[in-house]
Amino acid sequence: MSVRGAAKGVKIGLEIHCQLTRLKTKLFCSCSSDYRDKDANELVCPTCFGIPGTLPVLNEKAVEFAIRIATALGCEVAGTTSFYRKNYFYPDLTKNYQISQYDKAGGVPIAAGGHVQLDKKKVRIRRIQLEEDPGKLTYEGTIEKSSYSLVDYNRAGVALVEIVTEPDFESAKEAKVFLEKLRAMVEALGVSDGELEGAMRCDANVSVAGGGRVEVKNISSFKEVEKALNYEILRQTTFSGTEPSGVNETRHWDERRSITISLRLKEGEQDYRYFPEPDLPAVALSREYVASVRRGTPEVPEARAKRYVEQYGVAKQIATELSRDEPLSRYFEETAEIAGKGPEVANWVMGDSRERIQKMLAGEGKRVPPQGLADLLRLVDQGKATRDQARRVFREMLDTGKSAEELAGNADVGVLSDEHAVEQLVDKVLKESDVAGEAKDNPKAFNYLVGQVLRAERKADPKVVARIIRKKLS
Amino acid sequence: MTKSKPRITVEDVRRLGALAKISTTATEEEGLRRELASILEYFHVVDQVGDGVTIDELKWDAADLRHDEVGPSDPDGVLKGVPQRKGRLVKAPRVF
Amino acid sequence: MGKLALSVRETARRVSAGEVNLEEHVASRLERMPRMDRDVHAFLYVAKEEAIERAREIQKRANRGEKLGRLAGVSLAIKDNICVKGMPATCASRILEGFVPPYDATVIEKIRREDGIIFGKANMDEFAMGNTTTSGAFGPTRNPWDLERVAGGSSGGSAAAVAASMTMLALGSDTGGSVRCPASYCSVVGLKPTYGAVSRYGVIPYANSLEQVGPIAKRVEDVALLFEIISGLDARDSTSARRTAAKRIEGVKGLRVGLIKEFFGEGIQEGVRKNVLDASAELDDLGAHTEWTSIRSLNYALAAYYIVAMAEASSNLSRYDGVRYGASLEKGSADWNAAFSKTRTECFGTEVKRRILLGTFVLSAGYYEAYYLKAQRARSLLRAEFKRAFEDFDILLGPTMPVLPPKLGDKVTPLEDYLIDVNTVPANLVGIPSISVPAGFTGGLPVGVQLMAPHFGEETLFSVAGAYQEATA
Repeated sequence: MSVRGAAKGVKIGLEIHCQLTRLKTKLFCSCSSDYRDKDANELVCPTCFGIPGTLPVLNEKAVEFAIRIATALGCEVAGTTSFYRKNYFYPDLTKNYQISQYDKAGGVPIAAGGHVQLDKKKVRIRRIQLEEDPGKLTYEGTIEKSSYSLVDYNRAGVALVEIVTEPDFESAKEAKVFLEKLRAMVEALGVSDGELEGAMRCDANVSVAGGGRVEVKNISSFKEVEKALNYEILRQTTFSGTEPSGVNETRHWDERRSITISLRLKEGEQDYRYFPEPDLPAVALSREYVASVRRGTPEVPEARAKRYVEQYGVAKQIATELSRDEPLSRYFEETAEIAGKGPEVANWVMGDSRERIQKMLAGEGKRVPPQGLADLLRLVDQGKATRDQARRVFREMLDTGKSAEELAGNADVGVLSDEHAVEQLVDKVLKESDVAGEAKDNPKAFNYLVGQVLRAERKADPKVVARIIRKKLS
Repeated sequence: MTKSKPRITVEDVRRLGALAKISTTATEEEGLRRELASILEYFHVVDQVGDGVTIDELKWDAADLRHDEVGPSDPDGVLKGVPQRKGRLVKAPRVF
Repeated sequence: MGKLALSVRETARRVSAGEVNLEEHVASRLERMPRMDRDVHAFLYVAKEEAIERAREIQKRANRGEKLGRLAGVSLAIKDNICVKGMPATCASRILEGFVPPYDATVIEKIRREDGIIFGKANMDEFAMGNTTTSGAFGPTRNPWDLERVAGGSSGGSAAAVAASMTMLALGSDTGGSVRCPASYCSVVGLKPTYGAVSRYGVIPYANSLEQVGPIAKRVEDVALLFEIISGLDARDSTSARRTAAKRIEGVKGLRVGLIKEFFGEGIQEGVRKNVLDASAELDDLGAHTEWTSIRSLNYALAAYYIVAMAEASSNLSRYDGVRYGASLEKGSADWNAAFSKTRTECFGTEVKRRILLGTFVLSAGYYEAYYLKAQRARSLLRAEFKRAFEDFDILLGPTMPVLPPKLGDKVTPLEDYLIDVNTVPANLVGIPSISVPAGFTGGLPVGVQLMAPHFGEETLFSVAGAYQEATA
């Protein structure tokens, strides 16, 4: 069977580790967390180095950032959260335990139970937790030839948020789309520069057709995720039936050879002996505190788009696109609040004036404040100007900085309300035009006629002109 | 509810040793097994405590936590005590 | 108090007033130190140069008429699990041989600020696990009152240094009685403060949720002063607490004293029982009102203590693998598992290894609920019972240790040894302050009486213990 074809019964769950690169310090000490491109073992202190007698001190902003992520993912934030020790030996761990969180035996991670809406799929989030990053292990030459390893602890103690999904993905592609959406989200939230090397890492759990769950570790980048998952799906589909089902296994993604390798861990070796971190009290997250964090959280595009649809009645397509541009969104909102006409303002802001508005918001040329645009739209509303005229006026407003009222005073703006006068114009045009005969059935000809009338009289209301022409033709 | 006493075996002692990175010789193992067994048996007196008792815990208000401001690191201080180094990197055994 | 030497206050006053040639005084004492300590072996490290330098510097300031700290010129012994920058900290273990902390513990910073002079690092049981100070890798500490007997532990070196007048003050750490036990055996005063009253930053942990640094001195007032100096909220220790206003009892008149029945159980030696009941009678003579009381959950307190302590210890001691400090790994080891195991197996002592394995067991999958969680629940029950007891009593009283100081070389099983902590562990489990005060001698050996107060009730303890010490001087 082909890799591209949809394999039956594929279930993928992801475990993403996202570094909170926007924090200035590490999770449990005040060392700078900006470790990239630094000399080895430069950003270390007795605490993150695990020197005996030192104690962890929790970074408040890390808690805030975790709550931001939880909010964006629709998770419920815990009333009290606590830290646990995950005990295992490894040279990149300075204490041979990692301070993390746990969701069993009384442990409460910082948030749980949310979801992300992909195009046709809802992906459920199981939990979100805070934990510390280990140091980095390197080798001189190749791992096989070297008789020792070398450790740089600059990264040890950097704050991570672990996001665990339910096994709701049914293809590698879905997983990849989700990861990219997640990356855009953490950037929009101002908590992480997801593009930085190593800032977002991912392990996956894959099972096919009810078989055993395989954990795939060591996937270094999002690009590799799709490859690794597709490989693993193919491997499991191909080999199902020859291996005992229901066996849980851990495999390692080998990037060089593009295969997964079994790690054949001995039984009992993964007993992490989780217990509550005795050096850190539980953290009470009051409703006031969570609310204040939420107030300070940058809104992510998805949430904004949803809000525009619900609050302002903007069409979904337009809302989605508009929400991705933060300054433009702000401009839209401020104007809509004054003018009270969501869909109209949105059309305007996203119409042919869009580029010019974006330039204006970036600081080029004169500024048309939201009030100014609202005033202009009011003129159209009151029948004092047509849409076409208003568009022209708006361009002038952007160029000159003058107000709508000022510019509307000129002869070009205004709506000819005298229908009789319009009718005379229409008669004239119909008489002079050769396409008058076709216009009844030919929309192009019809529009041509409308255009001719407007050229003669700029203040004519196109809607009225069209109505009268139609009447005359029938 | 009294839980049945765990039969702690020599295999258990070895497993614990593997988890804790402490190795034991064959002669030590049996002695340790007996000691651990008798101590664990004594520990069972806590069975008297019901499972419903709430565990007290210390609590902090999130607003009182440490501010995210960079403080001084001490690379020289910590590196000075490292037994085996290569330049600024810490030497550790090779991990497969 | 005529029998005892000068108080800390008086010493500091004399130094500040320039009445003492501090540098000479300190130099001569440190000169005699090896001889004094030859038999007792209270010290693992004598900080001769540092102390003389300190004395010189303090003297200069005194000569200039500057105001000096409250510990000006006062000598201290610091237990070897408390980090003093530039001095070794071995925890009496080979695995930390060569480790020199690059920082000062908070309590040391505070002592330095008050111009205290650290004479050296005191011997202890390895990683504070024990009640005799015989398990350390660098030899035992002997009891100054009887060199054939133990000094108690795990802060045996600290207590012995004070008892033998080698230093005026000492700091120990008390996880399950490790300050009070040697204080009792060495006939000095030792306090375990309220949990959280003193910062643990810089104290190499055995069991984080149970331990506190404790002051040791001959006089209650000196213990009180040292406590005042070392206590306080510390941003670097998230478990440290601001002292809450506890009801303070002045004097003994009308004091309600509860004698804990369970502390006078079967295992108690007759001489101990008699002296402690005499102490209680003494308090009654001073105006206290004493009654027997019972705290049923003490039945499982010792088991709960050891389960929690060993669990925390097994994790705390994981970091010792020979990579980042202390004893080094064998060079060129091929397999990291074997390398870690070799270092830890060779460098940890027997008792430490035993407790690590037990701690690993009670945290392991399948046993965590039955042991660790149960023990934590037991703690809550115990705490509740003590709270109720303190509604009826201002202080609770009993023997510090059920026995007199054992002879060095007495063979007991590990469990028999653990059982001796039965009177001291409850205060650690519950977090309340507890002080051990000398209650005379019996058969030539010291007995200690233990007083406990509610959380942050140290002032009450100092008041009562001080009155008792004064009355029996």
